[in-house]
Amino acid sequence: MAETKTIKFHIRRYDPKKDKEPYFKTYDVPFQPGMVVLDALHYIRENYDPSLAWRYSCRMGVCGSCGMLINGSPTLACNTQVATLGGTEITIAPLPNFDIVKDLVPELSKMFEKHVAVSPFIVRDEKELDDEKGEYYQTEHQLEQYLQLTYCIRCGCCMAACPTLATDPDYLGPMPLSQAHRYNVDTRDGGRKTRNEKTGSSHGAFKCHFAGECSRVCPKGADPAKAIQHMKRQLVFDFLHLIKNQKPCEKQHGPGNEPKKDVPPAPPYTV
Amino acid sequence: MKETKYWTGHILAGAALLFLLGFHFIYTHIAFLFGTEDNITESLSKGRDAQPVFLVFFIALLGLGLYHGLYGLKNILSELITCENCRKIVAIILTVVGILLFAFGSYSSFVAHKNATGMKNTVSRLEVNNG
Repeated sequence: MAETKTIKFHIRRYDPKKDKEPYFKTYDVPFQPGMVVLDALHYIRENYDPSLAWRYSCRMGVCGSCGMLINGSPTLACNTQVATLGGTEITIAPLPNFDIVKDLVPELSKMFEKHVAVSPFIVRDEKELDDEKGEYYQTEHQLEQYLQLTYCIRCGCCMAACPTLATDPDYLGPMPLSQAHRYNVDTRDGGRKTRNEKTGSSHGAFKCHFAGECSRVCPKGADPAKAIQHMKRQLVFDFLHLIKNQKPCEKQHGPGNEPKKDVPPAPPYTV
Repeated sequence: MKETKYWTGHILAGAALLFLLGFHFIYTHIAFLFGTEDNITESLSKGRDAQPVFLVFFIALLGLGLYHGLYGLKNILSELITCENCRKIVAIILTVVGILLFAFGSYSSFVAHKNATGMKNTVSRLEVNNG
């Protein structure tokens, strides 16, 4: 019978209540075909050390909770096959550029504060949004301007890979900036001028010097580096008043969605 | 938006420098390629200094070059310096250095212009008297 291959996992441990400094601890995990890094972490917790801490939820690359530094590259533990990493030794550490809560758990609240600061939503008049006179029709080309940025799951891998964020913790970073750009280029949005105040500040888009690491590591294939370069151009054009169409698109009836006649009114709200 | 202003200035200064430096190199250093005489002799240099259009040209080249270069340097240094207060101090130092260099350079250009104009007038007077 063939012997089971064993993989050595070097995991960075740190409990701020007990430890002065982070340290590495090694665990042997039997390899199984199809095994992802998250499975190995579960194995370690169940068989060696129940105090090992990490964050996870969906186990299928959707929630963005299990971002960590695997063999020096920020990625999702649930999406990384152990077989594809090669070799018999794997090093795992928490995402850099973040404070550590415990072991492999990064403190993401600062990233989300920056995210909230750039108003990551469509800014419109509330009354107009509720008005049923039509819909915000977009062409395929208009959709393509921001579609790939909607795939972002806020895992923080791009923030961990950013060399600018490593030297300037106040820099907004690739995720908030690309999400600001996602709404800036959305024809339904009217909040670009407000966002420009934040994205055009001294810790905004102009800090990026296009290392491109954020795009390289993005587990969803988004391209935040490109979005930031487009944002820089848009900021300069806005400053020079070179963008003519400042108004967001208005509600209309798109092709095939003409207003229907004799449609009874919606029932009143019950809650 | 403050940074957008500085960045836009940086980009525009870079674009303007392309033309100004291009003109400077073509006119001064590689004019011989077009069959004209060498433009870097002392007399021709003083002749250029005497013209007001070259005075404006030199001061514009100095100002734009200083702004573009020092703003770029500030951005590079702010990558290397992690302390926010130190970044501000470096920005202030570079601004002061830039203003001082601009003042000194402009003053030098004015003095050169004044001397060259004075010399040109003297030469003209001598030519009139001799002629």
